[in-house]
Amino acid sequence: MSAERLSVVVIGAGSTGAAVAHDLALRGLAVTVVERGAIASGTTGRNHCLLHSGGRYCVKDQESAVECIEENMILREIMPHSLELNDGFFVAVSDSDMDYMRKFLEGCEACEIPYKQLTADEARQQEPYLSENTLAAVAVPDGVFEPQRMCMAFLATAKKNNAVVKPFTEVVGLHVTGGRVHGVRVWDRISLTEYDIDTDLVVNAAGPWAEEISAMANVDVPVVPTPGVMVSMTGRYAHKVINRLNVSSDGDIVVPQRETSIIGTSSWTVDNPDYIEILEDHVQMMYDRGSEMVPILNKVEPRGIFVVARPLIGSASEDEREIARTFQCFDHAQRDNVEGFVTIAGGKTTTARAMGETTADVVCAKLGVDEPCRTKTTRLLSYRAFYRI
Amino acid sequence: MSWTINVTIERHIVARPVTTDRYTVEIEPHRNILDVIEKIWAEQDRTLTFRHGCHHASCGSCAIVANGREVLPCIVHVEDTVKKDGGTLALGPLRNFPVIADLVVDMEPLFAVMEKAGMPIVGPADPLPGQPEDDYNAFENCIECGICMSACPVVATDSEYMGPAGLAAVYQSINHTADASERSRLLDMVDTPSGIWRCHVAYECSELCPSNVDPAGKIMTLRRMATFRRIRRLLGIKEKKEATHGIDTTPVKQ
Ligand SMILES: Cc1cc2nc3c(=O)[nH]c(=O)nc-3n(C[C@H](O)[C@H](O)[C@H](O)COP(=O)(O)OP(=O)(O)OC[C@H]3O[C@@H](n4cnc5c(N)ncnc54)[C@H](O)[C@@H]3O)c2cc1C
Ligand code: SF4
Repeated sequence: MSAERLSVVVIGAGSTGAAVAHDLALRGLAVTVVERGAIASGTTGRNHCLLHSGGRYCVKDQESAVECIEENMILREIMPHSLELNDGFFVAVSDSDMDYMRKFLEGCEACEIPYKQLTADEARQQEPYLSENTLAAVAVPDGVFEPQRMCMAFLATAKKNNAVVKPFTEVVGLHVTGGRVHGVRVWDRISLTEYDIDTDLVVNAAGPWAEEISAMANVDVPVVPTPGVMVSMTGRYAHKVINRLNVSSDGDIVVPQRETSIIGTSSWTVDNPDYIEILEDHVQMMYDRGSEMVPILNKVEPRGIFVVARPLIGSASEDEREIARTFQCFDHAQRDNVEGFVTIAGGKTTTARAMGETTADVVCAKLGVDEPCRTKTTRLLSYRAFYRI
Repeated sequence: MSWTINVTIERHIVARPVTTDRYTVEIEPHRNILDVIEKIWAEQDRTLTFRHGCHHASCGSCAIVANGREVLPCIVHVEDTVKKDGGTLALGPLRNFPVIADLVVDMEPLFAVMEKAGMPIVGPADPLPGQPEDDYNAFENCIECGICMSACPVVATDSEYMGPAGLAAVYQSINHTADASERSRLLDMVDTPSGIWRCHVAYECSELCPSNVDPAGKIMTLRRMATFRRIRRLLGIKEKKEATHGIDTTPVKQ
């Protein structure tokens, strides 16, 4: 069946919703994106801006690591002029870091992440602000993105393919009749009026709010809002992303972006991700731990301190660092006997394109649309085209 | 210790006259103004519309006017603007842009100028403090926040004026290209009465720019370039070709 006239409403314009919209629009479906705030005003806009190489997951979560390196390489092709590409270092500053090195290198091999080992001198020659305690480093292809602009690039391209993008449009209800979702009720926050959008299928890409949306169709999705604190410091003191060569922990990464250095992050769980209080002890931990790798960070002023919740999949009882960082797409027809409704959650901004592909495959199979995914090779328009189209 | 502050926000709602709403907010004084806005939306008034993304002065989307000055509320502390417990914070949208709702303005005109200027997104990185030049790349400093456009007295009165962000962007584009004819075309674009010669040298833009772009300084440099070009042309001297950096986007080489 051709994609013509079949319509999909995507809820949420974070990296996931933006990539889903792009993929579906490219396959010819009539896509409408509804986002209650500005583009990327949820988790995506406020994340750490790391284009993952997979290094952070290559020991404990190899499935995620493989996803990351594959998508990292694809994004270099489809949005080549919108990324800071200076690679990343995993640096050892303690004996326990050195002990971790072997596992890390095995992980890189297993996940096919390109790497290069450096001595402490070589590393500090390239990155002179690294700690004097540096013992060794491993270079990997990390990069840096601008999450809001990345969403705008996906959405500009979707708009070029006839998608309609509606920011400041909040979903307040799902229309369900006879076990089938066939529309959304939205509140237009510009005119302060409500109206309905009829559709053949709804994709719930509401990130940490996915559970709120699914509850509107009496369906439960196990999304655990898991915040982290980040501190952006005045001044750039490394060209590369600086990661701690060890098991993931709090404050173990410094992402340089433009003229700042962003230290992150921490992890705990909350019930309501709308407004999350910044925990002062977590901020202090960022200074303390970040400066173990780049000591000057303890002496410069913070510029922005921010917090935002990951939409991790799992149940609230699990240890939040153990919840997988991969994504899951739920077809609620199979899972909950609700037709016309798909939820995509988890994952990362780095893997948004793959999340879009998986979701669009599910949506197209459900709607009987036989169109292949083309997002791996389609160059995205500049984010600046977003307002023009 | 939290402060209790009085916040007033200009409310722009379609087909209604502009009003001012008042809110009382309890917040720690070292939090940022954007935290105040988000807290009001989350806890008191779901009808409030505002733009935000990164909360660390990188996306440029939250720019507003706070107590009479253009700011990025994500990096300005409550205590620096409100000054004392019980003080007032008056918020409104950027000036010189069409208002869509409340604190949200239409950025399309700015992005159109940036596209016309061929403003690169990524360029050669500045060297690290105290370090020599090296071959790295970084996002351009201009975060396209619109603060300079809102603060500029000329933009306020002359809709033909390209404005500080666009002119600074043309300067960057010239810097990034080695092609003499392209450089010349870019300089032609701004060597006009509504381009670099329209600036009144008020320096508001450079004072308020949150990202060290120094648009006024760049406009002055463009004026010198245009003047030198005129002299060179008068004397019949050929344009000089200057080298610029390329960007290597290949991942770690084995
Ligand atoms: C602290 C932290 C650091 C991170 N760092 C990185 C990193 O460096 N690199 C990386 O790749 N990933 C990173 N991530 C992960 C990544 O940010 C997230 O996985 C990703 O942003 C999730 O995107 P999303 O689109 O699913 O969710 P969101 O971005 O939250 O998008 C959901 C959208 O739905 C909207 N919405 C909610 N309710 C409604 C409604 N009723 N109607 C309409 N719209 C609604 C929200 O406003 C929101 O914009 C980080 C996450 C955290 C928490
Ligand atoms: S020049 Fe500065 S103030 Fe103007 S848009 Fe760019 S970052 Fe904002």
